[in-house]
Amino acid sequence: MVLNRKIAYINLSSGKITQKVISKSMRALYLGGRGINMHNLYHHIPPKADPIGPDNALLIGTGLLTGIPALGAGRCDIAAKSPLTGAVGDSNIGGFFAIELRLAGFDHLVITGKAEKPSYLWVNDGDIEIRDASNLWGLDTFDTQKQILSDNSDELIKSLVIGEAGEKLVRYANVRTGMKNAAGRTGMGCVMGSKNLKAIATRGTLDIEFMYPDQLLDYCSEMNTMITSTRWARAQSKWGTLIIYSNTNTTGLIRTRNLQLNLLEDGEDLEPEVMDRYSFGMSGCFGCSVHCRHRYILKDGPHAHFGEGPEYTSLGAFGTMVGCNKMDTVLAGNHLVNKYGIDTLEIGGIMAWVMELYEKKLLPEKMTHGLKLEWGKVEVLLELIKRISKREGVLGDMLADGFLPSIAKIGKESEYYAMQIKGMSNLHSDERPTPSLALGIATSTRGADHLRSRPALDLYGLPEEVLKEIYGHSVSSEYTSYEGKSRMIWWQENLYAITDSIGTCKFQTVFCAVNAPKFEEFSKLIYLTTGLEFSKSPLMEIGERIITTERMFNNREGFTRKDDKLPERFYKEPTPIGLPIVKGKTLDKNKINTLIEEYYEIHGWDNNGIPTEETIKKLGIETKHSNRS
Amino acid sequence: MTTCKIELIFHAFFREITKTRKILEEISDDCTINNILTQLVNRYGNEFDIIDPSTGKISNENVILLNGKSIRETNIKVKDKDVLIFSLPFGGG
Repeated sequence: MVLNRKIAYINLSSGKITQKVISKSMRALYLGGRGINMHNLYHHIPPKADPIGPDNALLIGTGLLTGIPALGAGRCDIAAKSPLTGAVGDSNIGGFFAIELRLAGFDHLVITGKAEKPSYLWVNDGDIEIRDASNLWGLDTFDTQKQILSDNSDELIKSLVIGEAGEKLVRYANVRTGMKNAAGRTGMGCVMGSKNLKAIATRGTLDIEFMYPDQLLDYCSEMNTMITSTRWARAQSKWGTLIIYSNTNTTGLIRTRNLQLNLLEDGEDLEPEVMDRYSFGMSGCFGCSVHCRHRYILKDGPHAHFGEGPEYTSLGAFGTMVGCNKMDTVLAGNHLVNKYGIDTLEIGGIMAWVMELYEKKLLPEKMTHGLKLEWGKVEVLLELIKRISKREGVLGDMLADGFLPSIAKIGKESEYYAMQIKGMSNLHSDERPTPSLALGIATSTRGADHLRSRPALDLYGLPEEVLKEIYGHSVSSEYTSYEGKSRMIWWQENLYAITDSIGTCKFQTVFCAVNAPKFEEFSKLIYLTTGLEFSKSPLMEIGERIITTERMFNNREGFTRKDDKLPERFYKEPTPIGLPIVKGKTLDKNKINTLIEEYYEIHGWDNNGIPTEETIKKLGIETKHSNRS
Repeated sequence: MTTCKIELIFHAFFREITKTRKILEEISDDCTINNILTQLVNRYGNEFDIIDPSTGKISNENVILLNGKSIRETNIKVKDKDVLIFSLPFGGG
């Protein structure tokens, strides 16, 4: 059965590998994926551990529903203490790795220690080996995967790999699989690099038995039909996430030139329809019926390549945030970060920041080695990506450590322009007109982050009775309003914690349409897949448990309410352009503070953002630290 | 009767139908969203038939922004220089 999959504990220093079946009681508390990873994060990493030291644990987890043919149920959660923020490190990756790992007999890996030399893990049908990766070290993320296939003479192997950025311990290096998929955020590739771990390769031929297969297939078919019938899914399968740009850049909800503007004028070359020039089809992840990413060719010029994507995030990273209005440049930047294995969103945010500092003459000339950090110059962008990924020169090496160490080196005045929370860059959305989105990024456990709680429904102006039915509480249908938004964020956070733990795609939830899957549908899928019974309320409680465990980890590492802080710029500088409802907007600090207090209260945390004893007891969270490896 | 000029912006499927990103439209000053939708259905076809017959409001599958504000009601009067965007759910990243 699905529930007989194992967890393996791998110590790269000693070479010791043990494995055991994941208990039903653990499933009942945390499901799988992000949930079990967060339990292990709290219990397998000693307090105040060095994120790039051997005590940090790299945690790999497939979702509880991995393998079902619906809702993109092939996602894998990767966690560790973040080397970028020192807080919860956690990132989610699509593609085909998770299903292969489950076919190989494992749902979770807990990797500690540090290998003496470059190594990779080989996971195959119940066995795990630590193998020499000397011939892989130095290869980019594409060639690393190809070399593993070639070395093992098996085209069906799936790998999680790092590129040069991970090897060089860039604090926001990512983990990659396939042409485009990335566990982008919080520097999980840096943690792999710090352990001399170049890759985790897996091949599985074991059966996966579902509890009620016939009914499960019928229900998966129903779910897929429902998703593909939405206009959202039809748009995604034609234009991908780039479709978001059409709205944000027309309305004025997109960060441009760091945060100097909120839409890119003359930005028509970044419209989603422009991808028709390059795209020759769409592809998707395991279990997905939407297929939201382009397969494309940039045919001409010095940056010609074949690739997949880009996501909306890269449109910001190499487009609006750095003042560039050419799709060719976005594609070139997107390809380069995929090759080096570095977070597109983080590097985009940090490049936009230093460009504004350069413009304002706040960046010491000696740091740039003659590189003119002017907006929108493709060669400047690509050179900066290279320098950061390879830690070349003073500037590249400094920026590779992320915002907070760079602020310390450049000077206090630079902090105001850094669009970061807890040391992590924000998506290129402009949250000044949208209090719910602002609350979400302020309180996210992993730093400025749109994927922990983003209430996409808030942007659609849905009737308030519809919102009340979903959220169980009055919520204003105006996205500029503060009313009811704390409960909205709390609810979305719980939903996404469950989504990340069952291993399905966040897009294929109520994110895309009011009738798309929520807790009730997840309950049924879990039952048909595993036989485990959870109604809506216990599932919401599991979401609460996961988020509160994350919060407890952060508290232990020194994070409290003082860190749930938005950039001051959101309060001081009004949005300069955009349509009437957006133009001239700042956030109200008092109202945001009230939202944060309400949000803490709903969670059962105190005014300092610390879970109360009563809440911890109610949620049954084990607090005793146990480092078993 | 006086007239006013408004801007209509089309995204996604709406752009495919109209084959343009933006048009300027001259309308009467008592024109409502409902009147505009009727005109668009007449001109471009049923892609613009986006009113949910069960509620009489713009269906939840579409996002119509009037000067950036999402609207569902169709009896709203449109003013000179208004911008009306025809789009789809667009959250994410």
